[in-house]
Amino acid sequence: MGFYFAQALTGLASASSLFLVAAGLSLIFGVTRVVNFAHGSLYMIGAYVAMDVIGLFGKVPGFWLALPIAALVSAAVGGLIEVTVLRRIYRAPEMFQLVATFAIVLIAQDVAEWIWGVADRFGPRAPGLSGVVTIFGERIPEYDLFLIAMGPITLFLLWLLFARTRFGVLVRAATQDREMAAALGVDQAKLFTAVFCLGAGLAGLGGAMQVPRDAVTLTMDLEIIAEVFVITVVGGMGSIPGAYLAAILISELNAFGILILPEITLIVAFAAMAVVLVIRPYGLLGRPPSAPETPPGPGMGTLRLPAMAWGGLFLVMALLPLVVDQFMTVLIIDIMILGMFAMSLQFLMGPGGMVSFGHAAYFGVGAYGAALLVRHLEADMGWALAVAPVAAAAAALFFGWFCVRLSGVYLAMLTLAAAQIVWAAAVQMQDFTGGDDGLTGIWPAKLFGDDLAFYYLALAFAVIAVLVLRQATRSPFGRALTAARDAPLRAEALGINVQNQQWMAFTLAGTVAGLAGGLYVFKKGSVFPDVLAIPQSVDALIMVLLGGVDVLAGALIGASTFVVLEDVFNQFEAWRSMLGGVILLIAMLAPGGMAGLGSMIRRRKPA
Amino acid sequence: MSAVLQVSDLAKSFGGVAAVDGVSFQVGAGERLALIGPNGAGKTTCFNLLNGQLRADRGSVVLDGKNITGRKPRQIVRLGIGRTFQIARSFLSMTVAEAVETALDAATRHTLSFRRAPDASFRIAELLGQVGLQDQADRPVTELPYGDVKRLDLAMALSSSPRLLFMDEPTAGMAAADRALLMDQVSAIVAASGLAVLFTEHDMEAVFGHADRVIVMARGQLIAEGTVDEIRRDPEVRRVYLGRAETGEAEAMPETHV
Repeated sequence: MGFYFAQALTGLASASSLFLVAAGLSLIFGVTRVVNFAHGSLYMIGAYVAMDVIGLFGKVPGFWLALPIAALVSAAVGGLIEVTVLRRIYRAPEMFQLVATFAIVLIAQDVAEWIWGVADRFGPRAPGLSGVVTIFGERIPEYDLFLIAMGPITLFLLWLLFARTRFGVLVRAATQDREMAAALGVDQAKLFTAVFCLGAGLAGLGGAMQVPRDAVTLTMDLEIIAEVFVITVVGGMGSIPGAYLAAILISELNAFGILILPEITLIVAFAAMAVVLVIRPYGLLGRPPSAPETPPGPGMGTLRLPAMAWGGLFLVMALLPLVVDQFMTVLIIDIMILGMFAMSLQFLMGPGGMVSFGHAAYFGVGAYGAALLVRHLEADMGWALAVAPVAAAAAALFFGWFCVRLSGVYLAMLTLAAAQIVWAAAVQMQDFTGGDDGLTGIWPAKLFGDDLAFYYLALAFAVIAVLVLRQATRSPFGRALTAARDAPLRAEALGINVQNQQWMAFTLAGTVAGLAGGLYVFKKGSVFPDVLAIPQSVDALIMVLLGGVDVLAGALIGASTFVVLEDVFNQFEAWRSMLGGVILLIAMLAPGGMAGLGSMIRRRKPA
Repeated sequence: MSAVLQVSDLAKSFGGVAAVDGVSFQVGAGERLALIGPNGAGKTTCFNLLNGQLRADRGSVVLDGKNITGRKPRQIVRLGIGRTFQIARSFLSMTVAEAVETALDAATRHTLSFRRAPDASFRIAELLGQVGLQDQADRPVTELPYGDVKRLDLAMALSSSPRLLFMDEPTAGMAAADRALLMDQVSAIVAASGLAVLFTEHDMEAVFGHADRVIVMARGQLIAEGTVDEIRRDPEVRRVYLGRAETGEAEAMPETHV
């Protein structure tokens, strides 16, 4: 009995930090409609700053100074981000905002590494709270009790702020009806900056509070963001009490789930999220979002390159290895593989109108499916490549069933959670997947052993992917899908089963991603959990963004640009920042992507 | 006249407020039936109960002898009821012809097919011709004036060859001359195909010029039913519309909604 009580307290203690970070994210989303990927970075910055303050002033009073200072520094960094970047992209589609905030994640990682170094840091116990108390015969750290108290205290203070101050009234007005708040003469720019600072400060405080419990590392930014996404979605985007409820729910599930299923704790969180979202699609205390912000325009997502252009491209690709050197040949293989991955995402996002933050799941399942078959069943390459898309299709069919019940940001965050599950499974099921060590020595059959042969294999696969996705876009299937995106009620009233249409599109996109993943394994000879991680998903988003979401071929342009950029930047230490900088530039200057530049110019001409 | 649609004792409350409270009526084959009433009378709720967007608390809706109460919107469409929207929602990334082709694919249950259906251009031209959009086939939907967006909405609703058409405020948002033209087109389609139409409308000119029969709702209930002339003279209807009881010589109903 005492043991379970202690476990429940541990869960509550974990909930507090998560709640602070989630509350900040939810608050920012509620007012600005931006899903801030960089929120994890602000959390990380808070933790590092706290370490510095403790180092500077000693444990006492350093620790108690660290909490407010970390919050203030994170708030200041958040304000800086808002003023320099986000302010310029509030009107851009969700995908651009997300990718832009991810670019900030990349830059923040470099800056953090530069300031604080790569070594993990371990904070001291909190002074005055380093002991334990005994409750029901179990030893409970005093600091846990402090954390447990911090949750409700913060919730109460935020409630006071929103219920009793003019600032709070403005925030609530802007959350409920942005246009109305603007019409009433609220200075949006100032309000947005203030809200961003507040949200960022909460993240920084959350980071500082974790210092006595966990190591401070350079990977804590993305580690927490997935969990925080789950919490804000379960609680309801924009709802702070919802975030608290959800933080407790998820933390308790983790605390007890670890007793029952120690290997798959994330799956418990996902299952909880799936159940909540099926019953309450907008989270425990959330409200349905207002209408989509960017209405579709002519040809959106379905612009097509004429067959002649594709034919010409194919000819060039077929002849290219005869004139370029081996290095370029290998680089182009990478482009084709990632191009297939990006095209599958373009299909999902363009004609399908579904933004996925977790498309790597299906690429990775394809890759792991092929590799596992080779490793455990000694299958040959042919079988492995046949199984890759099938495995990915099965995964997409499963996760897609949940995802298509939602739309917009909720759908996107659910896809991210789904990808995190698969990633966690790949990391945690060591005996089967090799864990972090991955699976190595997965080499192609002799026939495709040399680069030239592999090039033509990849080209053949890429042609299949183009033909399938192109046909899918222009067929009745793709039309009905686009109809469902443009006007779901009208589509439904014509007899189109909107969810089913989207589910099938999700599965098709996953299948093509899996095909690319299978090829990827044999190209690299190995697979690691990285292929399932958030950065891999964001890479695909970046490629689609670079090329423009309106046209399938844009994904290929995006993949080419991305691979070349990465290859060039890789020679520099700060390659992540450079990539982030380029992404920010594109998001701010050419929201239509490179392929969109042409149509942007055309559209400006008078009709 | 045999009934296409038989509505019996339909009711729906929201938080204890009865929006639709025991409504019964029928729509005859080939009949143009107008459902009118002041704002807040429950017309839209009634419509959404019929087309499946809302679930009724009680009562039944029977189409051609088949109970369709509680079916989903897309199932109701497949059973032979088309609908247009008060605020026409169209497929803004398509051309006019593409939008109609998509509607035809949906009507023939082809939406999971990767192959284009056999040439539908004749049927598309026919549908566009019925609403006078034959010359606009290749225009992007985004370029259409709003009246034509509503006509496209109508063409899409007709693509499944329904026996019954629900039109929620068919002329709302249109210019006066354009309204008359649209209602004439609807009447021509009814005359040619024997389609039955149930429509709500604020524009009394459209109602009195194009309805065979009128039913009147107020506070969730039907308060009158009859021919255009009967409704025009009904003191209860006049009271509801003008906010006071009038006696004596019946004047014409207001030309437009008050």
